Amino acid sequence: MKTFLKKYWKFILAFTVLNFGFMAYEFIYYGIDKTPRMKYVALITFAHAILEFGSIFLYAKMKAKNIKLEKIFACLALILGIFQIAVTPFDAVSDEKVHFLRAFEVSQGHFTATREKKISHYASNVPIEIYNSEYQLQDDHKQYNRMFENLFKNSGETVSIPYDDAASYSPFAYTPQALGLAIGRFLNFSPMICFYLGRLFMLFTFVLICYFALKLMPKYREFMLFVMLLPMTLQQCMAYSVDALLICMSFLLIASIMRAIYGEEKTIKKKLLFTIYFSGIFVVFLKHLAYAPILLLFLLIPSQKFKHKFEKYIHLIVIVGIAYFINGLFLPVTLTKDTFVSTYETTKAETDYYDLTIMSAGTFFGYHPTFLVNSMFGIVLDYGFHDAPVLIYNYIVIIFAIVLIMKNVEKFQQKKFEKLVAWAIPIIIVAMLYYVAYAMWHMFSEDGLTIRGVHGRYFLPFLPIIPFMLHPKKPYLKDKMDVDYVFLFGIFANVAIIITKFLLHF
Amino acid sequence: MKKLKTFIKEVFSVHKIPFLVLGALNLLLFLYTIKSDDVKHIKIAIFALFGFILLEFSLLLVYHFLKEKKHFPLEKIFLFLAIPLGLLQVFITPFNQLPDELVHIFRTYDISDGHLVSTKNEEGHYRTKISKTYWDVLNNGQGDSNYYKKVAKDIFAPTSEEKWGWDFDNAATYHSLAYAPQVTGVAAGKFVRLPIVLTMYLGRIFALAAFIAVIYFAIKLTPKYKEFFVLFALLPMSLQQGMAYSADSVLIAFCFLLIALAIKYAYGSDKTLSKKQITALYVVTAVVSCVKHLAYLPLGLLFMLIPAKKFGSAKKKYLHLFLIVVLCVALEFIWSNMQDKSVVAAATTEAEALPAYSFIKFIIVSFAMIFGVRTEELMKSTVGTNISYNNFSTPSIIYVYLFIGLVAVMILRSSEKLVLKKYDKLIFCLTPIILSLAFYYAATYQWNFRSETTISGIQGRYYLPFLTLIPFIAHHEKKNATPLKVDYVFYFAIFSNCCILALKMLHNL
Repeated sequence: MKTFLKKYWKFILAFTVLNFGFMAYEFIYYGIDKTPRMKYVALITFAHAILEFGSIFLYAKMKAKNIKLEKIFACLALILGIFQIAVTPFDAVSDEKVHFLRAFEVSQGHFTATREKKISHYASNVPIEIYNSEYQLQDDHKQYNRMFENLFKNSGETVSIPYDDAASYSPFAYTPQALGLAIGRFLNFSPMICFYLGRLFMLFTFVLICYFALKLMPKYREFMLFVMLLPMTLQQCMAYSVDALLICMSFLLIASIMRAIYGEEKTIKKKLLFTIYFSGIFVVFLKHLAYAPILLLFLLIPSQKFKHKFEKYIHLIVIVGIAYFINGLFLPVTLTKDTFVSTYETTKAETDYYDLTIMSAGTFFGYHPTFLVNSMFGIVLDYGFHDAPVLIYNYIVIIFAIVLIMKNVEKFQQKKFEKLVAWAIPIIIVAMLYYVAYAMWHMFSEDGLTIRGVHGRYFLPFLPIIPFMLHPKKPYLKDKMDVDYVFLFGIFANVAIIITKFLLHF
Repeated sequence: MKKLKTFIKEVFSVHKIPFLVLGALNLLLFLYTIKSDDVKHIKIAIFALFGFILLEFSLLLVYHFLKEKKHFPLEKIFLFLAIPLGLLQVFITPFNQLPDELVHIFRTYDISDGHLVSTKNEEGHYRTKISKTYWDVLNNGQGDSNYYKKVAKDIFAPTSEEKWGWDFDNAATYHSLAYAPQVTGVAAGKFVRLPIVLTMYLGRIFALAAFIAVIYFAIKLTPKYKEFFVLFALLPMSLQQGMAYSADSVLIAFCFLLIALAIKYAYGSDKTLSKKQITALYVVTAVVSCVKHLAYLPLGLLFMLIPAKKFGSAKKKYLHLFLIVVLCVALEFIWSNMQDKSVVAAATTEAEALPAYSFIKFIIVSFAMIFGVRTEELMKSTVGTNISYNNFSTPSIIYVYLFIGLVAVMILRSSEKLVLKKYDKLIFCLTPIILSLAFYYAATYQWNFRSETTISGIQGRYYLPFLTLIPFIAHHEKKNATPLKVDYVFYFAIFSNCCILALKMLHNL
């Protein structure tokens, strides 16, 4: 521990000052010194210190015992993820309410969303306690009180709430959360405990899948770890959201394909191929083919690793085919007819592709870079954004990523085609995301200057590809960045966000 | 002709990726602004757009041409790029569209009329009376469009005999030295009876000339991290403030010079400092401290880095440093005594009306403003993507991130050989901290730009004068690093300036 502290004391000190400085500012911002909550200031400061230094201590101990990187990740991600679950109120994550309702329906065996005739919406009957605990956009700092009041209640009363936005997603997208909810119900837990159980199941699934992804990843593991430990990744991956499964499956897909490309094995083993199939199918269907371009990486696997020259292409077609089938499997017929087809046909006729390109570029490069980085890192808490004093992490995260990529250049020769594919994937996905936002949702800002609706978190699934995009022919620097820094950064960044969130609702 | 063709081919074949990426980025942002700003004069806009693309590629060629010449150091290349880009800033930026430019213009005209120290009128305001035509010219930039048409018309308009008075209280207490270049330009314009518009442009041109000249010497003088000096001097915001009617022009230039002098004397090869060199320390520090009421005097801390033996002895070193401080304080004391005291009294009364921040609260709130709440605003106004006035922010935030990325990569790959002791590092780190706290203190207590939980009024451009400290703060010894080519600094400068200039022009077309 002493050696660890001796080596990293500057880094630890700088981030400690930063985080405790932010916390002190939050106390001033919320006027805690003027309310009875003053008595909790010491307790919160103490808890902050325990979480921050406790995590560092735990990491140093595991490191000293030479525990593998992926195991350390699993342990830290579980701790930080559980804190994320605890401090994040229901629906304080983007669209969590509608995703929860869909998961709730799935947990009851309603795999295809059904429309309620009375209200002509896709709706779910949920316990009133859930409805009463919903995050309310008001600065009364009583969110936790509301949730705690309903935590153990089980009145049996229900209320019907619509979830149209999530109706089109496949029930498989909610497997972990629905399983948690079903088990909770089976054990007669209160609705709110069931809700938390759903989140917990999702977190376990995320940690498990990421554990295997890290284990498989042959190159640029540190960068993948860095992305996995971003506060936004942890927030999305413990929440009721399609992002949760999408992000971890995407990491697994990238890792397993990279393993097939750069691994030392001469042929692809069945296990690895199964992993590619499994994760690939999920990635393709989870968001209606929007992330299918990640599968382009499959083209980079050398043909000689397969038995037959064309086997690679057959696998690719089969994966996309199965995913396409699953995507349509539980799609509500009414929704397909009413929403998808009509919207698609109208927008196809109306879309001006020049406008779309120019508006996308203007939004992406011109006005929204800060918003995108904010919402990729985790500063924008969507429904509770205020003048959060953690914006500096926006810039730190970029600088940290640059340093990590430049210092930890892996030794391998990258062909031009490999580089091209690495660049093509994010470009195609980003273009598709803007197309969807522009054409399907018509989410223009009020002044009509930008396309709204695209968040930085949408980029998380393909972030591990970045080092492959920037891979140089020769390393620029000789000294490497220790993976310790990645873990330490992950701890500090997550604790900063956890404390910010807690003080926002407390 | 053949040689030129081969040269163009060579340049564009080696650097095609950055050219293509940045060129395409700018093109998309131009087209986007044409659409989003609903530009009326489409033909002129398209013509201007081609002009800017041509300019980008001409400047790239000029840069490569100069680079390949023998004995053509960085500072000279800086000159060749700063002059055209700065001149474009002069003519494209409407008057009164920059932070506080209006009051600085009035102050400049007051000084050019011979009032080195401004006096108050019966109503208790600093006011200058100028022809109504000036006001017409200043008003041109306030509308949404047609600025250039209006200005072209004003060149030939007869000067109105009607005189209008306008207050410039905010700029009245600044030292007249801060406006020396602009005043010279305006006075020269008046002397040769140029039309009012041209006289106003002449003030800006003189400011730009002085700015570029001083920075040229700063780059020439500094023995370390020259490329950072070039990058920061060529930021769109630096060039914009460098040519403006503002105290920033002289301030930024002389701060660059002060830092360059300190670095040269501390880490240069000179064994002792000559009298001339020591005098330069006195003069430059005096200018820096005079311009903004001692706010930037803490930059003088950097002189602590100069080894005592270069002064002759430790005693001599500290005596000189002490005398420099005394000189600066004395000059400020004399200047403030020449002022009308009621200005200071009024500010104090306002400050007293607000509840006082405790020292700890002040530190915490300032810290959160810099590192949290206002970070984005500060970054944008450091690079120059928002133009403060008229709520006009150019859609080019990507350049803020490119700038951060470039600086990070430059630091990471730098192979500058420099041994910094712990004491040196401490000085490099302390200087910006003290300066930042001084700004926030001024904003809190003098300008009253605060609420219970925020302090506003601090802009990124206040940090420009000491941005050059960044590489020294982040410096660490590296073995066998491959330095980033200085080409990228110039590419960033060319494309970012062209982008922001074009967007500014389209906004005012």
